[in-house]
Amino acid sequence: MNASRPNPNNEESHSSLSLAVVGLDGTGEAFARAGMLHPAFRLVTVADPRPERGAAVANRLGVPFAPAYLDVLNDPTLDGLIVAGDMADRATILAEAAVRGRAVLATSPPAGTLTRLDDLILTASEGGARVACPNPWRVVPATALAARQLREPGIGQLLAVFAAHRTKQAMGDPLVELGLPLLDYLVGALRAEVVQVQATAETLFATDGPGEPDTWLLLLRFRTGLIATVELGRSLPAAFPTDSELRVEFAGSERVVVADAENLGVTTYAGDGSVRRNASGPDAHRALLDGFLPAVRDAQAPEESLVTLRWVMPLIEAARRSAAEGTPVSLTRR
Amino acid sequence: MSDRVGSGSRLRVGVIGAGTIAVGAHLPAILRLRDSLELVAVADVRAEAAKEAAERFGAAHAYTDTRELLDRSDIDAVVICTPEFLHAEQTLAAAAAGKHVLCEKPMAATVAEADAMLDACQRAGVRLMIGHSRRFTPRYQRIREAIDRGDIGEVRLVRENERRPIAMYTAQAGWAGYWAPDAGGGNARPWLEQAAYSQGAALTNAVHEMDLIRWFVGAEAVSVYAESRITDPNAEVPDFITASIRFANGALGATEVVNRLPPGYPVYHLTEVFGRDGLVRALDPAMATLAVTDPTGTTFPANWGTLLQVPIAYESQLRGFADAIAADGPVPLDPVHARQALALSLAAVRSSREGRVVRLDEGEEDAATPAAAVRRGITGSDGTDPDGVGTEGQ
Ligand SMILES: NC(=O)c1ccc[n+]([C@@H]2O[C@H](COP(=O)([O-])OP(=O)(O)OC[C@H]3O[C@@H](n4cnc5c(N)ncnc54)[C@H](O)[C@@H]3O)[C@@H](O)[C@H]2O)c1
Repeated sequence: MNASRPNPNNEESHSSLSLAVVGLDGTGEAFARAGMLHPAFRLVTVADPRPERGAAVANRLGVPFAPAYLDVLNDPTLDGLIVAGDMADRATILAEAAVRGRAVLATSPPAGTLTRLDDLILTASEGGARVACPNPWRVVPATALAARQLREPGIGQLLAVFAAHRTKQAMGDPLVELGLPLLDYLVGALRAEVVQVQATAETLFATDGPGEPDTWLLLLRFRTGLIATVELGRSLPAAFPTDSELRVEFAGSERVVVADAENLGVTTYAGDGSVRRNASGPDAHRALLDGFLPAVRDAQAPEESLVTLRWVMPLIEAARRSAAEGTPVSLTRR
Repeated sequence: MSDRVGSGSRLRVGVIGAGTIAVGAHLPAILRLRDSLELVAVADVRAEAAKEAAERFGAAHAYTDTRELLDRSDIDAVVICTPEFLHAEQTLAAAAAGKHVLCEKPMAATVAEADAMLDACQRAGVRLMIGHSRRFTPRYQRIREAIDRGDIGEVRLVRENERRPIAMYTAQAGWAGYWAPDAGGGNARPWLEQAAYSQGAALTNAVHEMDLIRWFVGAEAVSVYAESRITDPNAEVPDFITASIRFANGALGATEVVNRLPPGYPVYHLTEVFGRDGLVRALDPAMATLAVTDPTGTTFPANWGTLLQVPIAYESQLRGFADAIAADGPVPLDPVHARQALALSLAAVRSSREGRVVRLDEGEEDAATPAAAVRRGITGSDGTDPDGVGTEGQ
């Protein structure tokens, strides 16, 4: 892995853009690795509000560690910042980066409520920050391919959609952490409007006190009449076979497309009984960095920004209200 | 009343309804269990179907009138394989004739009918068992055993998804399901797709999911929210249903059933039981084709057999029923479970119709639904209700 380590003496690296990752959860670490391998970027440093965790990751990656993350946010020599980390950390770091007018790639979700998201949007706009907040499911090979296949002729009438994202991680509210990107992806892939949501939320597994629910069952009704069944879960038992699992199934009358992001594969069941399995594509973090490039290099407004995600918040909030009140909640067009 | 109950000798059986499930599963199972079962008669309103089944499976008698079968004193038990709107009426008639009853799922068309069946069989002193065949399918039994052994700890969430290709039934030549009371032997639409006779996916297969979820959770359902859909413009009943269920012990259940997938799509079934300590998952992704094999008389596609282990399940279900009668003991699956699964399915139907969470303790809605009204019209078309039940007064 030595060749991929940041090397200030490497001639090529002089021409590349300097990058730092702040917030070193699993996603932050994955971005750091992708940054080390990306030809256009040079990973200069990593930081985390919790220095012990940050130091451990930096050590693992063999990159310099900045004990005070604010120093990184203030460093004028850095071209771009990636903000990851646990939800609470992430929102704070993001606000601090936004106020400093930086080019930021924020991992999704950037905020848990519409108010907080709007705060961030305002801060970024006042600070002149370019904050990209891309949806990973649009570039993860399996889900990206599934969305493309939905657009190809041949799926027939869409009969049902099933999506489940579950993880062993003890994260914050999975409705936001897992649901926000997934719902955004589903609606984007289906190009349809959700008109009603019914949500059932429960703490089934988490043992960290009576906190936020760890499991959400959502039934979404689209204007087209289509129903999507969505399951979101965190804190699954340690025996759960994988750290995290995402399965999205688009069931059409002519073809069924199943994206299994864990195995990075798409299985297509066609009407003639044939089954096609597609190979996996390029690394998703790498693809997200590719998308971030114009915002850093050319000071362009990012294609998927905080504003892009704004639409999904009412859906999240409707789901919360549905779970609290025990009734389906309709979403009316504004 | 039968002249003896088959202890020590073969249990003498009559089959009512010689359609898909009878010919595909029950009659072959009776044949395979011929050491302990004797097929005496088959009844079906379609004379040809009754005759053919009797000949093929070795019954001496074929009837178009179920009454004649029930009047025979040399029949100990009946297997009811007719559509669900006939289950109560025929079970009550069988109980009144002193016959033990193994009746196909769903138990009945309404909970009130199911209660009448329980009551009638108890009063008549005959056994009643409902054919929730998946409880007798090895893979589900293994799952329940894993739960019982404590392998996964307390069950917290159960998901049961099922998908079917559209042609699973209809592609079969001469499919019996095209029969409908008012089709005059013709084939307007299968009864399964007519609102007069069927609730669609909720009772066709989601009742299996409801039963399995209850079984794995090991508690009673408290409330359900469901969305259903008619995706086939020609059908009158939903071919899609999805539901979220709350249980009394705090566990959740979830199910999604889609019955109109491409013809080549494999019968798909996903079972996931999440416990506090682990997970049991059964998925059928490998069944990629819909081959039809027919060595012992089954007309189901091979993958259906793989999925549901039809021959094994129906055989063990029937053996359990026969053994219970022989030993004068309880049937291996208490019909109350079938009643509860039915109540849950019907609550899901109501939820999807009314767009709200339905609590199980709300009780059944007035059975004066359009479907019930039409059924009443059919069963009481001549102004009589021969068994004094029908669907009236529910
Ligand atoms: N356990 C399972 O997995 C499973 C599978 C399939 C069907 N089923 C159940 O079995 C039942 C029958 O389903 P099917 O698919 O075999 O239906 P089907 O339409 O293929 O067969 C029904 C038969 O009943 C006959 N019939 C109708 N009215 C009658 C009457 N009054 N007296 C005698 N016979 C009469 C019809 O002529 C037909 O042959 C349904 O309740 C269904 O839900 C259960």
